[in-house]
Amino acid sequence: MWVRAATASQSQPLVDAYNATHKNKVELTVVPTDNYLQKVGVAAGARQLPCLMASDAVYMPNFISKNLYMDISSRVNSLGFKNKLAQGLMKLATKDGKVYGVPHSVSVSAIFQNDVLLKQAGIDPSEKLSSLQDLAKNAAKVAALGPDYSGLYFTGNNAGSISFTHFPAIWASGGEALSKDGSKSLLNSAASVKVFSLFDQMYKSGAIPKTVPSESGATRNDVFATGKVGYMMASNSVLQAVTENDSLKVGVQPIPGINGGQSAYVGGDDIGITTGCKNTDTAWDFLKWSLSEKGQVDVYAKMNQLTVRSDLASNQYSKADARMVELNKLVSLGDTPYAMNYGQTFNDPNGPALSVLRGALFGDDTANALKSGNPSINASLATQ
Amino acid sequence: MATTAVVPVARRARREAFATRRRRREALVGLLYALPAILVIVILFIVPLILAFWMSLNDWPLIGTPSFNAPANYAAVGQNKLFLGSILFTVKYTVVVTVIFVVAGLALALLVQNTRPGVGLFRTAFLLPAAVGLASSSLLFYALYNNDFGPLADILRALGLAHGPVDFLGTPNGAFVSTVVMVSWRFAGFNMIILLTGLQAIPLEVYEAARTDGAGWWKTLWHVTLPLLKPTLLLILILGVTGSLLAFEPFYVLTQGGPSNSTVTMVIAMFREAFTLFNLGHAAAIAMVLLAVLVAINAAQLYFFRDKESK
Repeated sequence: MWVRAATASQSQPLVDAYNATHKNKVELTVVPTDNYLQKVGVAAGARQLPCLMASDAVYMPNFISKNLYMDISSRVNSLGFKNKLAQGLMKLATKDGKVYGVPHSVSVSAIFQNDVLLKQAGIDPSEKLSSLQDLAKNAAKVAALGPDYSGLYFTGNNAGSISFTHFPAIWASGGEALSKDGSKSLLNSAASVKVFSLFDQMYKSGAIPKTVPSESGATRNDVFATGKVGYMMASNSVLQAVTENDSLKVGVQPIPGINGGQSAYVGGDDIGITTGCKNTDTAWDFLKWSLSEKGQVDVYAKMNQLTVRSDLASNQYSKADARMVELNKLVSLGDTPYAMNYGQTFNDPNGPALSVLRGALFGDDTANALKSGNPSINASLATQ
Repeated sequence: MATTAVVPVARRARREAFATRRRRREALVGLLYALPAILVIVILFIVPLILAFWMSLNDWPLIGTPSFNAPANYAAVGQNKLFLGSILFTVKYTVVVTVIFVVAGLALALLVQNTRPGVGLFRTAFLLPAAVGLASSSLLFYALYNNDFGPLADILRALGLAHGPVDFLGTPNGAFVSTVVMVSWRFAGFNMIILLTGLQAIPLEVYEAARTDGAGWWKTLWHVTLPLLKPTLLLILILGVTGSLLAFEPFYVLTQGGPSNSTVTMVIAMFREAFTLFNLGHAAAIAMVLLAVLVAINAAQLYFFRDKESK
């Protein structure tokens, strides 16, 4: 079984728990996240894919169209909880009514805040952010504490991350980022321009620090862990990766829209059985077990991770942490965009979206950046 | 008379037949000795080359049967905006880096040319970066350039050369210069050692003759050293130009072609076609175009740097 490094902290305990109680053993290989696509390409060409392959869900439509995954519709349909599986991730693993994978891990975007620092800046951390304007106002107060303090931090040098954290602000503002079929970008729409303009103003005013445009994601959690960041737009992995201390207490808020509302991007990984696999039944046995209560609650929820089944979202572990309750709410509220070429358009550092989104977030003319850059994003989304 | 004439002819024929057999045997033995090298070249170069060429003529899926579609893949090269945009950048990088390679390599070589106490230490120190792999040195500099944890920004600030955050890789120019600095650090010593062997092959008598004629340091360098170094300089130029036109690791590790695709080299564009978009046919076509261009450039270099008389 292969997984990308970003998911390994979840996959490893899952595989260990399975191996400890089953005769069949799953051998887990962790591949560096940035090289996952390349590794899959080379292995597929050489007919050396592993039986079980997890993937960032945004790549699923493309992988399925390249015949990398086996049709497991009948097996998935036999699951009593099929309709409780994270629907966004199921959508990405389905083509023409046939199911090629199941959710492996769920991640959801939200705003993480340092309650201690907010108090220091005179902000009540328990008060919900009513709108993006509210966020901008509070972030400016935190940044005003001194040059070492950051109001709002996020990954500004990775379009996959930017879409993960900023698309929800467009959705919460009543707009759309992509057309329903994923073939067109709507990033030049009025709602999108308003959202990105606000972030651009925050960058210019210093509420967003000058280091954000170079943040590729690698050091994001470390920066937040310094305790000198008021708000950070990121995924739920922050709760596992960042250790709290006297100067850092982590709180969770939904991402608001321009005039209120809230939304979230539900991402994560799907996992399927590859076309060349000889041990299909054994592979399915693991997948089925991974979705069971044992896998989801006893392994995932126990580690403070989100479950991929909505019927298990409320469990003994999640109930104990108000932040997990909030994140679980966001999973059911959030959206997952579908596009055949999502990965190559947004996640690929050489894809067309990164320069457009960076121009919109940190440039001089947001509306123009989105308007002039939109055709290149459309061309990439429409490529066959 | 007739018999005496026949004998030498027959003897000569026998001798010639023997010599031919010996030549054939020698050729066969030679071929056997060369066989391992031939096999390596055929398996690792000729076969992949033919395969890549065949791939460039086909629509080549990751899984499934290829279908012949020539010349669609070559037509796609002309439509590939990322690749077309990368050409100018790669040429700019090649020119800058090659000039630095020659100048820095020659300067270092001249510095450590004469045997003096302690010169061995400097030669080793200059050559040491060449022992570090290119990807490893890129990773090393990636850490050094890091805005939050790298020491370089602190050093520059302490020296008063910078204020606030130093964004080594965050702007197009910053990313380009930072990569050129890393590549120069990595290759200067290697080029120095090649030029040093060239310098040491120049007979001392030539320098003595120049001195006797009253030539100063500059005149000696210009009229004696450089002309006699021509074959070595040609080697550096070919290695530098070929290596830079095929640049991949430094940019892949340090900038990933960013920010905003400002440092995409031709090979990065090809890599994206193959391993992100899985358009293996398109990527193979780019590889073939690159190969043809490189062969042409190398041939031109060899031609222009030949001795005038043999042109």
